[in-house]
Amino acid sequence: MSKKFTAVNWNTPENDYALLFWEQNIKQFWIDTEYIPSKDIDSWKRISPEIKEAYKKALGGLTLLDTLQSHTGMPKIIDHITCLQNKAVLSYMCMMEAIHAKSYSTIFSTVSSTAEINEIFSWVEENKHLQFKAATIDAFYRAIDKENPTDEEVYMAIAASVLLESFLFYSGFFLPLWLCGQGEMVASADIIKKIIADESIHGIFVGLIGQDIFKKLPNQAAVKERVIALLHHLYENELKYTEEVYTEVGLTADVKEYVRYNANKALMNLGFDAIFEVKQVNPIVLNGLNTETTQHDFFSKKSTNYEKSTEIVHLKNEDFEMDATVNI
Amino acid sequence: MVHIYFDSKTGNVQRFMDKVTQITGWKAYKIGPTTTAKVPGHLVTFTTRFGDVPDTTREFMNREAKQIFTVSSSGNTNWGRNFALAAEKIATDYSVPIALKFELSGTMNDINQFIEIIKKNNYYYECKHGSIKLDIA
Ligand SMILES: Cc1cc2nc3c(=O)[nH]c(=O)nc-3n(C[C@H](O)[C@H](O)[C@H](O)COP(=O)(O)O)c2cc1C
Repeated sequence: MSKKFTAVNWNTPENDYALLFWEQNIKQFWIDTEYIPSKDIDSWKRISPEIKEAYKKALGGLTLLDTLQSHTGMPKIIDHITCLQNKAVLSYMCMMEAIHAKSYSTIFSTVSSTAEINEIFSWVEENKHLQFKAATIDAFYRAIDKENPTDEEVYMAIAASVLLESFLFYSGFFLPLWLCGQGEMVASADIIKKIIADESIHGIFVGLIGQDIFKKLPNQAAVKERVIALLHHLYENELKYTEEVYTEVGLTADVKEYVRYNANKALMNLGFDAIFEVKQVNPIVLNGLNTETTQHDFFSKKSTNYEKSTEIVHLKNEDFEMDATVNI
Repeated sequence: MVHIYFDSKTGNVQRFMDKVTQITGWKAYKIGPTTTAKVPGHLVTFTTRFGDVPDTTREFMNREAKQIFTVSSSGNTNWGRNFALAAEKIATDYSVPIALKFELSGTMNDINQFIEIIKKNNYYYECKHGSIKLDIA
């Protein structure tokens, strides 16, 4: 026999965090169709054409990142993770990325015509800053598309993934949160906030796996420098992307601050220190995150057929025997 | 001397405490299943699940709440209203005031702010707790 195939055994923990993340992910589960973005139609009519344009572009850009993450990032990384329970958690996350990518279409379908939607997707293909983001990250994923990548190559792919999930998304998340913080497009923002909670947990988990690999690297200082250089490279591009999407609506400075703030958090997920001086994140955006939404624990608070049964009454044959003495 | 008991699952609070102790020379103890707080001090923990207190922290507080002066929690504002909610739950459940809520492993600002707050209040708490006798007989 050549290779031995191993089955994932959840009865013996492989580390002290896989089960925690598995359970948290399950509790965060959601699907786009449980939300009703059509409630936002009146709001959509109220907002200015410039904001509408920026909103569509922001969501188009987010769709591209989630597509890359679910179709390439997660699958390639999963292939090179040895811990089977961690692989399982990553597979689950991969599935959620596909739900994220689809959910933007759900929002689009309520606010845009087919022609407009097609236009956004063409814009995504043609926009050089978006294409630069995708190509830069994709190169690290493709580098491990082989039998035996080095630890450094795997680590860099993981670091790129954390940068995508904890940093690159936020120039796009800014606008729906900013609108929601003022009471606009709140139903669609419910979806966006579910995506943000997911991305947050993904960033922590993938970052943790990255830290484990980093500890084994012989040239840690040099690799850390590579990550910081990559971050700066992407940051320069984020600034240009931000200008392109947000100049018309006058939010560029605020978005850039939010981008730096999240770049710091991405670094922390990788176990590094923050590098950007951040003064203040736009309070309307934080308000957008704080507004009470339909955030729920899918399995314990919802009454659909997904609901977990907690009080099961076992039926016996006697239960079906009719009482002949019932008075009618 | 300031003593700090801290809980950490994914390393952020650990890194936060490493910096605090490096700067101040304070003593920090990582909470484990049998950790006791022989000397009174402050608690730094994190928020988990949906705005929850970690089990390890809760078990520690069930044993040692009397010895704890203040609570701080790490979290992530992406969790909205659940941001660092563990601090509030502990404040309510064990009547311990909140010192600070911060994100992940904290920025230099957070670290300096934390040190300031603890410095300002530690003496007061030690006196109140009776571990230092006030010199005004
Ligand atoms: C499973 C899980 C659930 C979390 N839930 C919350 C939450 O409800 N609120 C919050 O502010 N942060 C939440 N966080 C973020 C953590 O509190 C944050 O990452 C913290 O820095 C972790 O500290 P540690 O690395 O020392 O364990 C959660 C993290 C994980 C892994």
